[in-house]
Amino acid sequence: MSLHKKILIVILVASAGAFLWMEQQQNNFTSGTDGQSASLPHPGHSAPDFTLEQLSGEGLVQLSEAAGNANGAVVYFWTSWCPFCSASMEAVENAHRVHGETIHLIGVNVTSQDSKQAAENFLKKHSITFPNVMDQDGAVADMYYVPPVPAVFFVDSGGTITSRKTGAVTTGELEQEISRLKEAD
Amino acid sequence: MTEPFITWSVGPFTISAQMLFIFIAAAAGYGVMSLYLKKLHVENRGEILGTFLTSLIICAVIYKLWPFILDPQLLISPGNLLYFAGGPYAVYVSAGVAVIYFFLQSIRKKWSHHSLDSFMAAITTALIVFSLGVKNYGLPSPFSFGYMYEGVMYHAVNFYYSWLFLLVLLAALILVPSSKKYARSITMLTGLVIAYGLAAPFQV
Repeated sequence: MSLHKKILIVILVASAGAFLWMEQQQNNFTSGTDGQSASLPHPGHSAPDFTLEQLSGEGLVQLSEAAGNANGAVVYFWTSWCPFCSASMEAVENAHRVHGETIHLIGVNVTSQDSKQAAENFLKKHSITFPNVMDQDGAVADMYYVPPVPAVFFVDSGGTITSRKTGAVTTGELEQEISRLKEAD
Repeated sequence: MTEPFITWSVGPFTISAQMLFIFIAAAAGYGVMSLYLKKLHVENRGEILGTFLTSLIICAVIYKLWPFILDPQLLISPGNLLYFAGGPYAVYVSAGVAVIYFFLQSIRKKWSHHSLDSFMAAITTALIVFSLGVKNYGLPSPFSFGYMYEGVMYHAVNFYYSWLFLLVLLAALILVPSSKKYARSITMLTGLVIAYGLAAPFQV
């Protein structure tokens, strides 16, 4: 057997051994912590929390509270000038009408890239009934790597992002992810 | 390595880091397949590469049209063709159909086992490149290496995958002779499964 084959075998064995050892260390580490971690806008991690004012002026909406008081929440970032947002608004509204009692739909208008008046007209045009909040300085959008819009995040009742999608969302996608939220709860 | 959800805009065009690295990974896979077939002096190299390219196109087209297959009513407004893509199981179905298409073509045209071996090498290369390019934050880590975010160290899971997939590719190419029918393909397939098993415990 040539030298480079021997070296490769040694690296393969050492790598497998290292990963198994790391897994052991990880198990010890995980069992010794309460599972707390920083929030990251990635599936599998805690959703960055936010509290924003509603466009309708009906008060504040807090993500963690909305998700915790139901089987979870769906956060939908949009702007009034975005045709992709317009195309999927009907599906989001339908999801709210069907699942609104168990899953909280929260629309987040990225007002820093829009205007309040245009956003209100947009909601009226599409007959939107789910709560929509204003991200006036774009801080929440930045936390979630938005734009591009639309971007939709599915958050379980424990505040963990189960899935995210950038781009127009269909009824099928919403139904699938909402079912997962309900099953997980 | 880039954050997965970062996007870049050039004029009216926007591309995410994930999408960019999917293209780069596909190109790298194509390049490795081409080199592999060239090195082994496979006669119908051009035809195999053409079929691979067709597989990639089939994959992209199915992914793009998947929402309309699931919900044909979306086609009532032709503008929706621009807006919608992907959806439930779109990735798995589009990739699966592309693989099946390549596999069936290789049987129908009676290509040598090198075609499938080069296909597996292309897929493994694409996985290496994609894993290397896009960050994947794993579980909070007890080690001093990984991705630091807001004071918490996370496992750099994409790097783990990239390293393990690289070893799989090297093991198949260096330790397994190309003359053994499908031995390299089987080695890579088995290796990918083992690599996944080794790195998965660190993934969220």
